[in-house]
Amino acid sequence: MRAVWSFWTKPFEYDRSAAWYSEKHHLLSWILSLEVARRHYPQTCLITDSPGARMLVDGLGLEFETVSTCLDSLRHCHPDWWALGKLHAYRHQEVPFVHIDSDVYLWSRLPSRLETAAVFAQSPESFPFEGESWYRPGACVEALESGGGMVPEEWRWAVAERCNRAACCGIFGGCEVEFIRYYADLGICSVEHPDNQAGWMRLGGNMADNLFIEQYSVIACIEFHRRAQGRFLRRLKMQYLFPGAQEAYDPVCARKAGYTHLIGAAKRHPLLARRLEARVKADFPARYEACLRYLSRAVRGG
Amino acid sequence: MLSKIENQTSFTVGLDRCAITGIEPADSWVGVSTVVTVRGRFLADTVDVTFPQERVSTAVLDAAEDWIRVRLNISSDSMTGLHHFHVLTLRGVIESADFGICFHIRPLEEGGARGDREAVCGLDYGGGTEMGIGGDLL
Repeated sequence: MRAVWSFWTKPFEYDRSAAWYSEKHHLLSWILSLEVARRHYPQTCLITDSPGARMLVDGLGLEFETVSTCLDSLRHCHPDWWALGKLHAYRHQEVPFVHIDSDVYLWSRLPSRLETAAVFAQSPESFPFEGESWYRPGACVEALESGGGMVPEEWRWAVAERCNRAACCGIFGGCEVEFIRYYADLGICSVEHPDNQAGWMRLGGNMADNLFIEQYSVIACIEFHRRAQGRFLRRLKMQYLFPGAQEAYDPVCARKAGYTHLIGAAKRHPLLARRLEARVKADFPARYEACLRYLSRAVRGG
Repeated sequence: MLSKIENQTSFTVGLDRCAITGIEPADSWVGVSTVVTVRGRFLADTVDVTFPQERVSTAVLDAAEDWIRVRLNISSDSMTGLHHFHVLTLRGVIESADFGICFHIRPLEEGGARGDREAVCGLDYGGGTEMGIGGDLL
């Protein structure tokens, strides 16, 4: 199984860099995420843009087996759509893979039920379909439709069914790459389609819609095609590393899975930042020194 | 996690004009809404609410001269992502920080840089979610 990371620099430079305790810790996390996962998955791939390659490969010296700068094609896209980088990485894959967020560390190899799964993700999540929610599939579909936009039938169906489930994608992948490419393409096209721009604009800025196109859409597509007797019939079954969000946050379950995800504010936690630095310094001293040198050069370079 | 906040429905923060007076916990923090009532001297007629955090959304339920009531919708794993949501008024800033629901309140009319006269109303819902998933494995 190929291990894949993605890094679209535009959203990161726009506002997402603030998610980390410091720039150093962001870089240290890249080191740890790659070096730990490659023990289990030596085939590694980075999907990024030219500035990302300069930072991670040229600057930090990270050694991915393959590097693509295909995210250069996103330079015209608004950085609010940070999920586009991930979706492009998914669409780029041609063999079974696991996409690993750079704040995820796979201390253990994934269980075989995931490695052989059609599609898998970190953990399932649900939300109240009615009222205010971080997911708003009904509002998205309505806005796109009212603007005469292109709405995937999978989204229409899921909203009609009042589907209120999504998949948290700290890790995401699977063996059914044809389906994954299809699902990723659906999200990309829906964001970029000219006929949808008025609808997205009408919805207003809401970065949560990234979760809609990535984490809700995958469930909508799976559930739709499992019922539609279509080309993906029967092959689609979602597997999760954790059976639910509660289990994911249970330290015992996380330890058993050998899985760390510095999700949300954990990236800024001072204690975790200290541990992250100490871990990289102890386990990957050459990489740690390379990180310091890169940061030093960056400071001198202004 | 819920038990940590059940008995804390009224908080007075450091600024004598502002207090969080109602936290109405729902059955769980996972995938539910809760309502936060904030009292303070807000001079503006309108209340503007923004939410840069992708996993938390909000809606102003009511607003008056001296209070607002806001519904927070928290996603299943957004418990780690609450540190940056903002409830903004034209004259007052209520800002959450750190982990759990910790509101920093600073009337804008008093000016000053961010962080001035911050007062923390701390709610720690525990559960270790601030450590992310498997944070202790680092």
